Amino acid sequence: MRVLIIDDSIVMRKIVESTLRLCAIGVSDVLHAADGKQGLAELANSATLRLTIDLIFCDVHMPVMDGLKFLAEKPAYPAFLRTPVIMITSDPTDPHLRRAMAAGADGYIAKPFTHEQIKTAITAVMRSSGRRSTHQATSAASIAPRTAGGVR
Amino acid sequence: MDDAVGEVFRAMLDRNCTAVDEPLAILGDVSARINISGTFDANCSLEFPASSAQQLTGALLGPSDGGYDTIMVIDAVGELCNMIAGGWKRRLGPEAEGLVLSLPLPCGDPNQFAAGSGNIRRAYAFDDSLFVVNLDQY
Repeated sequence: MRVLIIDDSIVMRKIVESTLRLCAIGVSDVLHAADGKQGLAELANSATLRLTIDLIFCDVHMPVMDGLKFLAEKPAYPAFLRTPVIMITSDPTDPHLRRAMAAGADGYIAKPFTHEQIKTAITAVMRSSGRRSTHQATSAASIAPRTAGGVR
Repeated sequence: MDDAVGEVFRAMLDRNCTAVDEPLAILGDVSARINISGTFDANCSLEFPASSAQQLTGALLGPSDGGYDTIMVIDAVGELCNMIAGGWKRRLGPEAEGLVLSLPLPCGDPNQFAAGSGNIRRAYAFDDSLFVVNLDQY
């Protein structure tokens, strides 16, 4: 599994990466991006190299390009239309998070989080994403359920 | 505030962190601030002595030979401030509706935090390290 982590905090990117590796969910490569613009560049680069990205973690608030703008631009990279996005936030009541969920994010993780909460959120989002892919193949009108993870 | 601080350390660092009665003159070497704006304005700031900031970074990322560089240490304190402010806001309930947190702002001069109404200024300890949390509501 190739995972892209977009967060302006290098410390948080490293924490998420080490948590993913400890979760033993088959993570092979982890790509890092410091903002949405770098995240889009990673999508473009992976598309050029015909490499998959199976899951994206994206901070809500970032300088240069925030998570909302990243979500808005992501459909321009059709290879990753079905790649689920889990938002990272320290504030689950943030109106920006609500907008991100409405804009197509598949779930979110609230900081602080435990390994178990990350694993639970990933499992739920990947399951939901797989279901959505199947539905989209048969019915363009189907709407995926959204999964919120890590809520305390 | 004690609950918000304790929650971060339990979940992310697998450590206890509790309020302590210490002289509050820490005014540390590394600091960070989150501005909170909306129905009211507030800011949450942290002050860390250099040694405590290194200890925090090592607790978050694992030990490092020779310690972590300044960028990583400032980033770690900023993230901690972000999580504590988020936890505090979450505990406000309906009062927090519409409040938005800023990005963490590293601050070189902790004395600038003294200008608030000083609602909360409290020292906390984890392992053998101390730091101060300020919460000023306007």
